[in-house]
Amino acid sequence: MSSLLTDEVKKALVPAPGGLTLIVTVGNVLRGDDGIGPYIASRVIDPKPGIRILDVADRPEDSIDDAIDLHPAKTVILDAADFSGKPGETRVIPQELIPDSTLSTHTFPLKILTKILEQETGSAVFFIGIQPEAVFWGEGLTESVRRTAEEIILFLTRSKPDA
Amino acid sequence: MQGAGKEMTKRNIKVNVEYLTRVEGHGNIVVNVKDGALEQCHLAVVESPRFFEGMLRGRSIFEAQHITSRICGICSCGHSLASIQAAEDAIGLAPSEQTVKLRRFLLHMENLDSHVLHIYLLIAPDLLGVKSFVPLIETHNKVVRRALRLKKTYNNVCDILVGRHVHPISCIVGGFTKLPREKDLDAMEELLRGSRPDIEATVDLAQTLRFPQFERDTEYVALVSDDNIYPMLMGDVGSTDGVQMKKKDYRKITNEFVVPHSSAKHTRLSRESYAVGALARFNLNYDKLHPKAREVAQAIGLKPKCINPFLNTAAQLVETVHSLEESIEILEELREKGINYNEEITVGLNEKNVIPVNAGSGVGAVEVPRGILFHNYEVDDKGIILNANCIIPTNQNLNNIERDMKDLVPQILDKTDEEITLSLEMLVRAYDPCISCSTHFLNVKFINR
Repeated sequence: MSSLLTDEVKKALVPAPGGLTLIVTVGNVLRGDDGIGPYIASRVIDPKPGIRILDVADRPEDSIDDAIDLHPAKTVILDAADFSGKPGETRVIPQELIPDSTLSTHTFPLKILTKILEQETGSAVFFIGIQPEAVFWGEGLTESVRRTAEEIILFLTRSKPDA
Repeated sequence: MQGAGKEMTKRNIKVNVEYLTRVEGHGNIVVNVKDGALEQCHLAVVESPRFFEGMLRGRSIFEAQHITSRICGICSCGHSLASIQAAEDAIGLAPSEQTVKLRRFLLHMENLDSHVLHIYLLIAPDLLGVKSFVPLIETHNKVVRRALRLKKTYNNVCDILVGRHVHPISCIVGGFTKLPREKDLDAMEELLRGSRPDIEATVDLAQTLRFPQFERDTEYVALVSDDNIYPMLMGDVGSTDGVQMKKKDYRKITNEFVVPHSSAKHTRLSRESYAVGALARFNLNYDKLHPKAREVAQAIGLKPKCINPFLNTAAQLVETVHSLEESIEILEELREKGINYNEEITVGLNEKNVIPVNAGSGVGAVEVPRGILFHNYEVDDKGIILNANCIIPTNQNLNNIERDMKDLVPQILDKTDEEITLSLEMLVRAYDPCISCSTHFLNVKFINR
């Protein structure tokens, strides 16, 4: 089966040389495919050297200090994003396309997290969007999105030495 | 605001803000001035009804609070508590003193979270001259970080007390499924005391902000009580026009009516409109505020009866100090008296009849960040909801906002179209409207023809 991760996405996930790469997973596990971020975080038990996973779930704004304290050289945000792609398709989303117009007391745009991180740490910030198939009230990923999640998990996990 | 010159009053102005930002939900501002005469002035709510009252029919009162908390992500504790209060009132159950205290504490956490976010995210950008919160990251980094730190603190306290930062789990009809242990009290107190410097810095910041000068006398409505507690959870409903009624008479207070331009209903009491929220509470219950909150009110020059709607934000700041100090005192009282863990209850859907149920009708009236919230349930002898009605604060404010807009527009005709638009947006935002919540089920009776 062909890879669901583009070269651009794989490049973004490669650990930064000489510094920490922080993978920030975002999403709500009660909203179907929107839970892909926490799904990945819960399954990367032994990450590659130089990689650290920070699951911020549906409250990214509450983890800003935690992220800053880690002084990442590179930050990759993983979240479901509807870019009219095929279910499970991945893309690096340019920062200027991350909306900040949804700000209310109920919702925080991710841009706040990315801007503060850049400003405070100088970290390069990448946003990887995964096209959801279904965002519904309930737990669990659809098959196409779960396959993408498994591929990302494998990519982020330390290789096991051959037995 | 300055009066308009003669030439200016002959202007034609069309304001049509189709997507009002920095409020929750979708509302449009429509203003039409022809030859200086105001022809149209609406805050149109265009969202469709959400049918929560319909969803409640046929469901148990023991699960209602989990359903209704979903009406609003920021007032989820308030909806839970109004739901629980309505349910307990309907079946004739009186909560214990300890339960009431913990519920008051929970409301304070919601008030702190909501007020802080409103002051920093939605209002500060207007007063600091930027279009949204995001540019403040570059110009006012410390302010942004402080706002997020405060939000996180009050979310975490909620997590500890009720199991989740929104949509509380352990707070139910009859009490709490889990009561805070000693280590929980310690953690909550540490978090709250730790937030004091940030709240003090917020007060300092507020003193530098200049709010628009605009006054319109209106009726303010909030809970009132005979005791010394700033009423958020218990009491009658009172108004600055001298009305005082029991919460069961909430329909006589709200007098809901339909307007053609809005999918949310409007309300009125003694006058053509009334206002609810922090400023209403401040105006009606100033003497019951914590002394430190009154000190802040004096420092920022806020006195009852204040009739400048823009200063609802200032009243929120005063309430923030009140909620912080009173919640710390509640924790101290709980620690001193000791928590009675025998009150922990497991009810589920009351399959084992842990709680005796009588058929009846009950009303919950709770002060949530945006004002007084009513839930009314009619239940059968098994606790199944036969009818439900929820009237949220934003509904009660919509009519008053429009009346404010109608008074404000003629006073600012000498400003540019952009300035007029911004002034109107700021006025609406001052009320902190939650428009998604305001679109509730519209009862339509078809008459046989």
